[in-house]
Amino acid sequence: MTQPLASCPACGGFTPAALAACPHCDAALPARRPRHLARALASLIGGGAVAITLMACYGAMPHHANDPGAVGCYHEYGGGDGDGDGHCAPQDCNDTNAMVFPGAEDPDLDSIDQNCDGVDGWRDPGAVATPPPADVVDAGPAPVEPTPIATDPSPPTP
Amino acid sequence: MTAVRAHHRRLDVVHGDHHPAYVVWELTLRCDHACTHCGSRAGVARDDELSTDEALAVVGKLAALGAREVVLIGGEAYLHEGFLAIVRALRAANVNPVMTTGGRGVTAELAVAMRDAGISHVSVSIDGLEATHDRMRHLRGSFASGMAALDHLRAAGVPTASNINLNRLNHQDLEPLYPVLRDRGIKGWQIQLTAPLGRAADRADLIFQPWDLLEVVPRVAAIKAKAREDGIAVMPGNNLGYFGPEEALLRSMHAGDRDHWHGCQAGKFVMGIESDGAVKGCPSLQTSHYVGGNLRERDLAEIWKKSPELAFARARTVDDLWGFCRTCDFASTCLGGCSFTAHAILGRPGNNPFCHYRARTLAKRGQRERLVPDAPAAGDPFDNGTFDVVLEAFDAPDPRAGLDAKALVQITRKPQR
Repeated sequence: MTQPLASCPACGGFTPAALAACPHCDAALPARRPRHLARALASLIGGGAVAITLMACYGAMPHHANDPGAVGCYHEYGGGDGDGDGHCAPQDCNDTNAMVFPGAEDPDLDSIDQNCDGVDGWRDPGAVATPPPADVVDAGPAPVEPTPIATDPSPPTP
Repeated sequence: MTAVRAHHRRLDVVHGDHHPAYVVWELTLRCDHACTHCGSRAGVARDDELSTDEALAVVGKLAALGAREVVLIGGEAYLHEGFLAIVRALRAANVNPVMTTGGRGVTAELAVAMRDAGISHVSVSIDGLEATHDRMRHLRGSFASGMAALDHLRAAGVPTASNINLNRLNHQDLEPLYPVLRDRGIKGWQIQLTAPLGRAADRADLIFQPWDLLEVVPRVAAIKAKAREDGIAVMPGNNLGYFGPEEALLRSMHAGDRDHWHGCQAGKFVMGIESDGAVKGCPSLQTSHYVGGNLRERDLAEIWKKSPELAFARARTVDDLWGFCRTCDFASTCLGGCSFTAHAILGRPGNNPFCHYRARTLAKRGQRERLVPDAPAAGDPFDNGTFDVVLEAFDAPDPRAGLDAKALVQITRKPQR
């Protein structure tokens, strides 16, 4: 298990628990108080304090952009999500009600827009989406030519 | 009612429920670029790549192991004949399909087809302003086609991101490139260091020296802070860091959060698949050392659970570190930084000169480390040479002085074949 780090009150940098001075700015660090047992257990159970956003070196953006609730809100464990339903405002049109979020069930005629689509009740996305061109549907392999490897031996720029 | 848990990359890393949540899958090594820095030396397809039917069979196994997101790469993933079918299968299996591409073949028609197949988002690699990008990718018109790809995808309604491999050739373009990409509508920007892997191992002058991080990391942090105001998520790749004063800013998604590096996640929550079915704990790990098995020969779950080549990071402790990293204040948290990058420099992980904290610590002592090329790479995908690390005075002469852009992309250490 990784060891918890403290924060330097002077510069905000992370500091290992054992250090008496900040390794970044040399400011003296306050002695760390023993963690209360219940708080320590809650941290272990919750896991939020040690959650990370996985990245690999292939450039994909760090959220699930097809879910409108995820855009601009990355905290599965709280943070910017006011009602804990996994979605943040403004995509979550009521961030104080965990029953309201993009993708929620939205019964007709209850006067509540639970799924944040702007209307009460479920709106068929197929009714507003533009159908794909007929020649693209079931097009099979990607419509690109088998391009040869770039072999230009000369410098590409002056 | 259960709230949708859609944040595919946000994971609790403490409890040890290791599973391949985030998978990077090379569909083919065939590529329409031959980039000077390419770690996989992409261009020509591997001899025995997975067919479409074989790849579709893998999709279900990934879903069964708990994969949340699969990034399709190459080469160029769209040059695999089953590309769209595989995207559709991933979507149907409730695994988020993502793509990273150079974009040269992403036409308007392909962008629409990708959208309809269910692609979640696409990251286009843009490695500098036009002159720099085209030189690094060794292709006139590459920048223009990458930008066109961003436009086609955006027009099709596919969310876009971009990524850059940062090195001595292109780092001066970092600040002016940001507004260009912002105006193209990207939602995220990933910045990683070019490691001496594959073709980059043959071009040692292209690679940063460790003390360059003293300048580069704060610049990346400043761009990230600015990008937040624009609603763009700038995130460092796993080999950019670690534990400088900007660590929380670099690694956190939101202002004020305190995320930080927690060690290499290869084989813990990350998995890589090569196009012939070889399975690794991270897509960039060296093929020669880290392939745990092949999908044609062993079940994926067995490879994941039982192969020591995939398990090395699960059991890593400070005792596995060496050199500076062994004695570092952050050793038990950092555990030596990025494994493939350290291996690419010194031939094994656990001691990583590409570290901001390390460079800062040495600079305080009036010292720096200089990487001097030693043994060349073999000439295979995901291979590496080695370097000697020379500890010298911080103000020692810089042997790179005077090298122009053309020189930086020249082969200076010929591979063995």
